Amino acid sequence: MSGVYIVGAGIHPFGRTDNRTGLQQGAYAARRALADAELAWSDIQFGYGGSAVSGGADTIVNELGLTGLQFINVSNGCATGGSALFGVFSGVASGQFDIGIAIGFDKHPRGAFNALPSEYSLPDWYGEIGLMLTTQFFAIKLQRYMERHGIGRTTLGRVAEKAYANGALADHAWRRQPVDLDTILNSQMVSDPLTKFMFCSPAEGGVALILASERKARELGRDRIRIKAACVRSRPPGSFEVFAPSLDIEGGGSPTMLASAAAFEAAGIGPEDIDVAQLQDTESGAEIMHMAENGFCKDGEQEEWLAEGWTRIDGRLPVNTDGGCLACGEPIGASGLRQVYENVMQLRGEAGARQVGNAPRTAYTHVYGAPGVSGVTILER
Amino acid sequence: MALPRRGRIWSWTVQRFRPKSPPYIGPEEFEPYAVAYVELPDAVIVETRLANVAFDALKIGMEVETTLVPFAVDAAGASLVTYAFQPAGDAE
Repeated sequence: MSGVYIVGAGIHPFGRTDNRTGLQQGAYAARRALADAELAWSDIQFGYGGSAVSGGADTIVNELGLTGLQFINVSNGCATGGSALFGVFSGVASGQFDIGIAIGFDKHPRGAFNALPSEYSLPDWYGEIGLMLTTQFFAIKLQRYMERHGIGRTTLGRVAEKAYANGALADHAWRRQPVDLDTILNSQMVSDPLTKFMFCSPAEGGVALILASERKARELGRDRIRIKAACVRSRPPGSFEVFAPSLDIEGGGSPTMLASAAAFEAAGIGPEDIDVAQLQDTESGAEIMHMAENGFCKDGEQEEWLAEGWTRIDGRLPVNTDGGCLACGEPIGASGLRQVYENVMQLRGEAGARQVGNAPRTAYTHVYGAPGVSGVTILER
Repeated sequence: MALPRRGRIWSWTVQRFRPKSPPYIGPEEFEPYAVAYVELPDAVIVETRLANVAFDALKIGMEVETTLVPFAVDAAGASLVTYAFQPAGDAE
């Protein structure tokens, strides 16, 4: 396999944009990525893309131009963006193509997601009696994790406090105002132990990344950011996932642990070598649990990590430097690619007010969603 | 396969906002309800609604038993019931 490089990155601001469809936000991001790479749409040989609720990504050719390129739609829940990236990465790494684009976008209505049982091979009663909510899953997984590993509520609050502080520094974030710890802890309880400010909200946005082979990247003079690993994994036996009416008593691993281990192996480095990380933070506790599942600390150590500020932008391992899902909101098809976009900005040293110091060389992303799928990437400068 | 009627709360939360319809078919006027995974010994961990329990009394490890609770009314006005768990009647 030859090296694969990110030669262009573009984003449409996350949040609410009333006068643009989800697809148009994706096209906007694609134009920004093309401009960033100093390429034309006609230079792109192939693409993968997707959205959860905003239509087929292949219709983006109506916006960008009918060049006849190969374009494949991805529908993989919260891993849609990560899967699109994997598709482009594989197409270039195999030597079949020299340059391709991954596009993710979405535009969700306000309020919690309303997934339907039939979409997940579940019986109707599961939704009818009120058990089919992602918010319940995250709260229940977290409640047990906190009791077993001694995580306190203040630590949950600190994750959210950091997210909004970072979001205030990120041009593409939705929530641009810092929120203090007391306000977070005392806001409306949504699903115990999680309050309103500890949850992300469904939102809108679009991201596009242009990938090129080593040869092409050199030709363009843009061979700086290399993708060392892009892995997507589904769930192993005994894992606890979103929308599970029952569980095995014998617990097991998680799709995140599998994807993380595969990515570190492919990259030939370990968690201690990572300079900046974007971890799925659907809610505060998810970031805490995912710190351990991705191998960055042991279960329970997050109490000290958060109290000491080690995941802040000026800490030893900055996590969710653009405010993550908490500050950016969650357009399902775009979130995984937003994480990679943010890492590209950090590695290039173009992250502005939220730039991590000491010129980071390695960057990690992790996205997670229903019904138990995780995507991990590792970038290197 | 017959499952034990009693088990212990493995983890829990409280649903404090009305889920969207569809898929939820409970009453428009929303009352928060507790949700748990209950470990049935040597069998399985099941997801369930909890009934007849104060939210501030909920604890991992609490002993609970099966019951039936009404959760919605159908088009003909008949009450629909679902399985649920409630605090065990007497300590074993």
